[in-house]
Amino acid sequence: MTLSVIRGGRYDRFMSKLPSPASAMSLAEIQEDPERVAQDLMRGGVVLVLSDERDVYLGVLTRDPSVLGDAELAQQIEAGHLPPLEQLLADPGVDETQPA
Amino acid sequence: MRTVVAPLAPEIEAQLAGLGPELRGVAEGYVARLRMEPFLGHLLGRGLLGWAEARAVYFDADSRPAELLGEHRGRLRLASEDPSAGPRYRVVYRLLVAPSAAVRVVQVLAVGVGHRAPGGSDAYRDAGLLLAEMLKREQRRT
Repeated sequence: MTLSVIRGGRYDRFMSKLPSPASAMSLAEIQEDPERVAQDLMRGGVVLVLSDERDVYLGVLTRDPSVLGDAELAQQIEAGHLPPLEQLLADPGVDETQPA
Repeated sequence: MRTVVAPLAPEIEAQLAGLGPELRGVAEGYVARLRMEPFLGHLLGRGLLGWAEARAVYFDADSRPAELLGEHRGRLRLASEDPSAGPRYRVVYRLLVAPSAAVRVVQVLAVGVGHRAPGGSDAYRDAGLLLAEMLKREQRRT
């Protein structure tokens, strides 16, 4: 068994469930090392995205499932790779909130 | 949360047609089963499919997708056997989980042989190509 001691501020940050690591990067900086950015996102991190001049705040990169899933589905529908939501819901799906 | 299967892309329909009736029936059975068990396939860890958190279900002609409890285990690979001794075919898919719409969409990316000889195509390669193509074919809204 391995025990780890997490001290002070690091413990508080871990328990708060705030995303970590969190950083602010310009588009050019993201392009320089997309693999590292992707690894940080996969670990639960976020990146505030700025324009290359750092004068426009563009948004947030995240792989938070509650955001990513909605975004992926919307993009697939709007790009025409999936039919509109009402057609998708016409599938005889399984609703796990309903008794069988 | 409701789980639905998205209509199959023409590429997937062609792959199913190429399997022949028996294997096609098994593959379609697994696709249908994903409505009930969307996390059935194992997570893929590498490349674009890994980033997309795609999954793969293994099957063979003697697999029985309707048997949820695994009464008939089919041909399983023993630890002493070569990895190629397990089920030959794969359904590669990904899950689009949209909490706002309370829906989980199964998007099938490829169906076919898991590992073909070098240079040939296989389900993983086909799935990666389809995913890459979808990202490139982003239709610009006017």
